[in-house]
Amino acid sequence: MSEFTLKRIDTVKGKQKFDQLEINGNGQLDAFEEALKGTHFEPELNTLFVYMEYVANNRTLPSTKFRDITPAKEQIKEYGFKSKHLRIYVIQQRDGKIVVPGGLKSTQEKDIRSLRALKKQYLSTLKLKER
Amino acid sequence: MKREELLKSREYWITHIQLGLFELIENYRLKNGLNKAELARELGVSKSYITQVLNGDFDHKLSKLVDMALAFGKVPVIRYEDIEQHIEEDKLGITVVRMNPATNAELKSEEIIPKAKQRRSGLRKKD
Repeated sequence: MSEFTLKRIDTVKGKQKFDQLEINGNGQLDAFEEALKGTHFEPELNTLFVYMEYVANNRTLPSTKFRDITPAKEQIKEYGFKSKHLRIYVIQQRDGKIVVPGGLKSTQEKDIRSLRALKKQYLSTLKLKER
Repeated sequence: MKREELLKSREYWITHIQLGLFELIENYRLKNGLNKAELARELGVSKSYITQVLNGDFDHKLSKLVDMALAFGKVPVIRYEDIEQHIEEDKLGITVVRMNPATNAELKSEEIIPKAKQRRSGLRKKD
């Protein structure tokens, strides 16, 4: 069974805390960042960090940049940050957001499925810890 | 990515300018109950231009930025700071407020700077 932990994203400063999900010690945002290194998508990731900072400071973003993607009847909110080619997916936590995986625009459907699967696993581990 | 790297990136600053203009215009639009077409007519610009700004994708001429700010009764104050000093102040929590053109930045800075200085000198515990 995977072990889930949270690691604070110090790059994003604001009133809300932004953590990244770690699976068996591997940060999902770190992995995404590493995968983009040296590609022409790297500058877009900087832009996404600014979007996260805006949300962390409870400021409004255009709906084209930050969108609620929570399915109907789902209690824990899911959001997507969008740049031209990249996406970063987050779920709501108390006082902030948890960055789950990131991905390319071209793989967003698959990535959102992956987000929901990870979210489900993560939340179920939280319930186990509560018992 | 380290925050320092982000603060040294061009995207960080461009995006802040774009989002600052977005907030300025969107707040005005909502306050006055205007749709994009009405706002475009009021400003004498095309609807596609307004759409672009409201999507946070403004990347036009500097003169257009100034025109837009003035049209909303604002002045676009741009200040040039030493990058290392800026990073240092950011660590102390001062610059986050400064970058917000849509709020009363001076007032908030005054509130925050003394706290940051107190923290640095060990006089004040973390909030």
